Amino acid sequence: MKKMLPESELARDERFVRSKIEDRIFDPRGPKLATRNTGPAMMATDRPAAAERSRSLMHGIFVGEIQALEGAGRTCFDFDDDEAPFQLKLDMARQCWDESRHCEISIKLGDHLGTEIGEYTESTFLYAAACNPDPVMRLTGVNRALEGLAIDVFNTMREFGKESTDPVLEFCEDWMLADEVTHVKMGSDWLRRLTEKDPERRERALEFQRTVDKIFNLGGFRGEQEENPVQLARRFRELAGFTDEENDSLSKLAAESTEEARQMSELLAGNN
Amino acid sequence: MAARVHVSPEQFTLIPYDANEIASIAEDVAALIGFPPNVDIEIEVDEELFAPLTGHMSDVIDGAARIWISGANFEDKKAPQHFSPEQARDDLIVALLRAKDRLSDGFDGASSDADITRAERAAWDASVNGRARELGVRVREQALRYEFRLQHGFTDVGDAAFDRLFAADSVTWEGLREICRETGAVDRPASKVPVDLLRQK
Amino acid sequence: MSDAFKARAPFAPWDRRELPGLFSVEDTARRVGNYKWTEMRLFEVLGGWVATVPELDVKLVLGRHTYHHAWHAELWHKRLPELREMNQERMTVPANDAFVAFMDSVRDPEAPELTIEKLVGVYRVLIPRLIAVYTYHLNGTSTITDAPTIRSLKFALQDEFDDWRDGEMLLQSLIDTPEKVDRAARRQQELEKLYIRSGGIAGPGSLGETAEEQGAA
Repeated sequence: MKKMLPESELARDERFVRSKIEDRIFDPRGPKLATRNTGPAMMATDRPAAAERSRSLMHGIFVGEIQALEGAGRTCFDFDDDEAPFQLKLDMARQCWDESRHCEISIKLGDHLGTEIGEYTESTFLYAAACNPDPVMRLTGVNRALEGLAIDVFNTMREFGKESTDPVLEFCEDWMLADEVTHVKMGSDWLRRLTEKDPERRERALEFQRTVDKIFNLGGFRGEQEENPVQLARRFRELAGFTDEENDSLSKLAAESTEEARQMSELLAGNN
Repeated sequence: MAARVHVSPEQFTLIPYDANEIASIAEDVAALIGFPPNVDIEIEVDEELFAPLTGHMSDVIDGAARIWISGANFEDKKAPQHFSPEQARDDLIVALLRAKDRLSDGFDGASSDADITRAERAAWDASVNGRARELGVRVREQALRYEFRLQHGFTDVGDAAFDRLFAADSVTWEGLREICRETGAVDRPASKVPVDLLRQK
Repeated sequence: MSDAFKARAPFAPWDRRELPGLFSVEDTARRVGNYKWTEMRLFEVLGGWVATVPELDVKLVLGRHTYHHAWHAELWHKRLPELREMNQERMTVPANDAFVAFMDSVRDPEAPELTIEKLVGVYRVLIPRLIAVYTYHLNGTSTITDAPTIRSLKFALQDEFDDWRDGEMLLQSLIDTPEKVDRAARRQQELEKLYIRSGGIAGPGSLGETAEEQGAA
């Protein structure tokens, strides 16, 4: 088996349909919709299409968990002993188990919400971040940026579970949130240990993290403003080892992305 | 004979939907559910909305059924921007069954869809979908139950009410309001977001 | 004098543990190093395969088992310094080149259509042999002097039995035609032949003396 499996070769059964992010970005309805008030971005029971939005997000979480499992698994395999320390691989193996469990939880939650596996399309750009050939970059991109995003998403869903008095959703999201905090800590620890004597490599890794963070802020998906569906979970990010400075910086980046998305929508709406 | 189903827009500009195809499906659906033949059906599709922003409204105004529906309801979830005739048929059956309810005596005095509460709507949807299933619509009971629970609570009382609605052959406006009292949904704070927000441009 | 100070035998009457064991400290370190190397290669490939199998149930089981074998590797890694082997990497080696060839072959399948080949290699060939070699070690080592290894062997064996059952049940559910039976059997034969060429996970004598050695005695 070869090292470094490209995104295009991820194996899926017949239920899954892959989508390209460009399809959504260049959907002609996007700019039109961006100028309309479709209600509060945050999950809430009195949000229009609340159940369908919840199901769609849950399916997105489910496929994200599959890709996180695959990414952690590939990190166990892709690097020889001299490229990635034994302990790092052990951490990634542990993450495989956690992500595998998260897939199981997400499938059960999907049943609870009334969705089906493969009901929505899958975008694999999360796995793409897990394909970096440098283990430090990969760990930083996946465990700090993506797992950091997972903290924000799970906290958002947990809050929605509370607001809707859904005991199943709140219970499950709380457990998954605990795992994600552990994964981010792993990323922070390995970044520090592997770049202790190589500040340039550390800076490159942090730059890669910022790039991944920016991608996942796309269109104002995550942030600290009311119009961001997923809110930055500062308290849990602190538990995971992010400093106030890092959280402020991410918040600023998210606000910039939200503003860019707004400007882009206005521009595209003007052209249509 | 003039067509009794009118679909707007006549020309879709953002997505390749065909107004004639939608009208034809609506005609078939109307015949299937025994929709009164003397009542015109006007269907307005909002082509700017896409998944997951689904929703539809059914009112009877000046003797005609007025259906507003999100373009997302007709969209093939596995092929975004593409029309799904199966999805359209299923959702039009549900929308027209609600319009048919409104034409019945049991819904005299019912609020319009813009004024209905989310809980009343969830209860009505549970009932209509139960009947739609008998007509061959692929109804996902658990999805409906979840929508009902969001508005009526995750309780045994709520679940029992859902089961009754889903199994009922018919329902009345007063019956729906009684369900809302039974589950405690009437005591919940009023929605801060207008129920017809997606319809507002 | 209270009964608390009455002299008692140091070993309770039901404690039948004995000093003699088959393995010296060096023998044990060598075997433990072979176990660690094998468990490492196993957890790595299980992790790598997750992305290559389309069957969702298999994907999730592989994800879980990846950690089990990583944990076994960690148990052996921690045992090595206790066996006077301070350079753990030095002892983390395969038994011989033939065993490397066997493991390379176990790890070889990649295509999404080869789930049966992947699972047969692990659950019908390698894991049953891990169970055998761990059991042999457990039964043969000194129950007093080597108690820490015994404890780790028991933990590992518990997982191996559970994982073997998971994998075997997945295989039984996947092998649903006579052609697939043949495929699985061919794969098993191919790997077993490679395995016996290596003498086993800990090389010749993995399960005790070889037949040849027994004949010579």
